[in-house]
Amino acid sequence: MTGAYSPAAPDWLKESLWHHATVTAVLVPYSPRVLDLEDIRVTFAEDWSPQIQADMLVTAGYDEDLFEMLDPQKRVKLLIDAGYTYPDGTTDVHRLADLYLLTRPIRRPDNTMALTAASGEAVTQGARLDPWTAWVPDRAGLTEFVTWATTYGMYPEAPEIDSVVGSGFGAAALADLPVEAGDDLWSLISEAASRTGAWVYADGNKWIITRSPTSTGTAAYALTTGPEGTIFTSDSQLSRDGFANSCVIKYMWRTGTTDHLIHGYARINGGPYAPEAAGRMGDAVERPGPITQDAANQAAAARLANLATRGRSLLLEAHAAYWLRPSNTITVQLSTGPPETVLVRAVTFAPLAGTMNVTTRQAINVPMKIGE
Amino acid sequence: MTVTITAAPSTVTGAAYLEITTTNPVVALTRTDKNGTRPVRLEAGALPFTGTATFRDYEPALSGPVLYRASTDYGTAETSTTLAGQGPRFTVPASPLLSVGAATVYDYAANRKTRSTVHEVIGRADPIIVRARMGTRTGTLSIVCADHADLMDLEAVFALGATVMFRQAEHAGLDMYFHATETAAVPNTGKWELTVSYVELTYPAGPVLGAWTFADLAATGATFAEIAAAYPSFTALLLNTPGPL
Repeated sequence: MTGAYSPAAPDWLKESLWHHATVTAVLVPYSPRVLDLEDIRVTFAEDWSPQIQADMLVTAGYDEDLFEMLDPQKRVKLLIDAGYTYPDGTTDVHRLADLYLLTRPIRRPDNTMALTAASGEAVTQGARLDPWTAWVPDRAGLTEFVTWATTYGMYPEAPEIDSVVGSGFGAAALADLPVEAGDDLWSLISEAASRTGAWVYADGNKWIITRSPTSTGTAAYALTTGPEGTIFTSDSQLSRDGFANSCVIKYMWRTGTTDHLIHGYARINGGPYAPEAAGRMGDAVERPGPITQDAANQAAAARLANLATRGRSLLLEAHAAYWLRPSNTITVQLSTGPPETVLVRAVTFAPLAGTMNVTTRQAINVPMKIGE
Repeated sequence: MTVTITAAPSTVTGAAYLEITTTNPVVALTRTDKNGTRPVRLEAGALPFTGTATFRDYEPALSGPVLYRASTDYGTAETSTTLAGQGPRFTVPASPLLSVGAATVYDYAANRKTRSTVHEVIGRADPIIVRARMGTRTGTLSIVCADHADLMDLEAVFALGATVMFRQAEHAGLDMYFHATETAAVPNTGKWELTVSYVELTYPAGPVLGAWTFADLAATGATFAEIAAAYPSFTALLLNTPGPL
């Protein structure tokens, strides 16, 4: 479960290591350039779009060619590699993220550039359906819909699609999805994902269509304190913030002169966190229609399944395990209490300091009442 | 033998004067001294050449033998010389016109700081180190100057912000290329003293800058007075660094 990294990496992380990080800027027709990094942080967060976001501080000399190349208006890719050199002398460096450059300020007299970059969602957020070109959304299923939307949104690049839901999944929920000229492609993808209860995100131009896990799987990494430990700081939080035991999604639209309003609804049904026991902790959002009542309720249930896992979270700073990603399962043993198995909600890597900051959510399966 | 080389030291400029005669093109000219082996810094486009040419090397060590080797595709020639017996010297390798000998350098102090990060683990006695190499030397050194005019000549070496080379004869390994981050001048018992804060740099690649000609100069101003006003000193004129300072 260490991805491209050596299977021995979790054991090596208990020791002192050399860490590496490089950022390579790529833009045709320029030759790729490795940037002089002063600082870098890369965040993967399941509830953010773009899911991968990076901030870096890069030395800015007087290299006009580089300044001309690092133009966010062109589609500049930043390839971020990170890894280790182990005490046995082997070097284990792999691609951490494949991002698009968003901003490039040059600051004088500091002589730095504070670059920001993000994964492919950022590109589709800027791409809007053009009223003059013929386009027909492919509603045969979520995979087909995302393929159509990313092909349009990532143009002229061809997207790579990695779907675990198969073809035809969610076709019924997509039948009513409104698609109009002027819509940005990411809002269409995001709405399609919400209606079908799936999770869509990009790693560079690779689009992953999957389901957000509510239960834990095989642990990708074990974090502990104590003599063999790697946890530098921990902050264990119980909060009503972010937690919800009921969810309303309000869909409003108009056809001709008729206004339509549908509320999708789901709540925790039974147990200590249900409204009967814990009180009402509601969440409400508005989304564009049209939609059917059943599809609206399913969308609310999918949202609640994630919100219900957020009451208890751990904020951990630890020795960086570069293969960890949101939705991975990890086990955590703090100085007190039993070991816990939790899901990663967000992880931020700071390769120059060799640290990662992990935010977790609880893995609970709550009984749910969907609709009335 | 198709290539010959001779070398002679200069006590005035702290340089070695090289003369090379060759029938095959000389493709490399290197110096080996106690600071290691490096190519001799020349003006851009100086190599390859055939015939007879003279060069000045402003970066040889000030103690021990200095070996020069001129290489052609068909053979090499070597010669050695020494610049022993000279005082410490500060030189800008890219603009060797800025080269000042100092009578006394004292109060040298050097720090090297690790770039590693030490992380303390909860409940664990030993820390986890994210390892990194140690940085180069940083610190200060003080230079004694006979009078304020000498001090200003010395300051001019650091004023450009270019890499400066420090050479001296007494301590092996103390020579360095550095960048001055701060200079402080104070009078001291009838003399002047300049304290330089430095950051050591690695060997700077690049040619000797030059080729600023009378034609270029004539184009910058219509009258002699204009040029005299634009350049604060003759050194500034030679280096083409106009400006108030």
